[in-house]
Amino acid sequence: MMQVRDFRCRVTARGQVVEITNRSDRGVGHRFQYQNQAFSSFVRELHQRLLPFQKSVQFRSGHAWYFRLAAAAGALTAVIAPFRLASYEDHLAFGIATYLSAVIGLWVTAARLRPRNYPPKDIPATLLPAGEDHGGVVA
Amino acid sequence: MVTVDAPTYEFHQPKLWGSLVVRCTLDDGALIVVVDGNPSPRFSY
Repeated sequence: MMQVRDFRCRVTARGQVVEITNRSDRGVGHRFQYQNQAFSSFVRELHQRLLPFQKSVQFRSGHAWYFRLAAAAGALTAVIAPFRLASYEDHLAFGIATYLSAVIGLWVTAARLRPRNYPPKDIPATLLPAGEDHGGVVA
Repeated sequence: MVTVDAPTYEFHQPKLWGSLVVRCTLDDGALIVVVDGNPSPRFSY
């Protein structure tokens, strides 16, 4: 299975931060490389090594800022967009479909990004890329 | 000092444009990170 999705792993300790991703991006003209296998093994191995210290380590998924952004955009769209539907008088069905797609899309995005804790022993499958390494799309 | 057989992984760190090469070594007692060949943080555990 080819999964073209970016996954990020951020390690923060004593003011130091490092963030890695499963996607390499060498700039325009180069193909992306998705290192799904190495990313998953690294994350699993790191969690394994941190298990003895799980009481003092926070294991969290999601992204606080992106979540707020998506939630705010979803709420704004849900409240403001119906007023715009009046301008779709000849294409009301299209307007409603667009509105529902936008609200549902933003809701799903916000749900994915919501920060939450997870058990390090059992990393949720949604946090790791599935499938083989691949070249993704051309930048 | 890094343990000889410590698992090392090479990834990329996202930037606004492109990415940086990040080498992560899971040594005994610490995650050693080298970003673009430069000395970088060491995360002890």
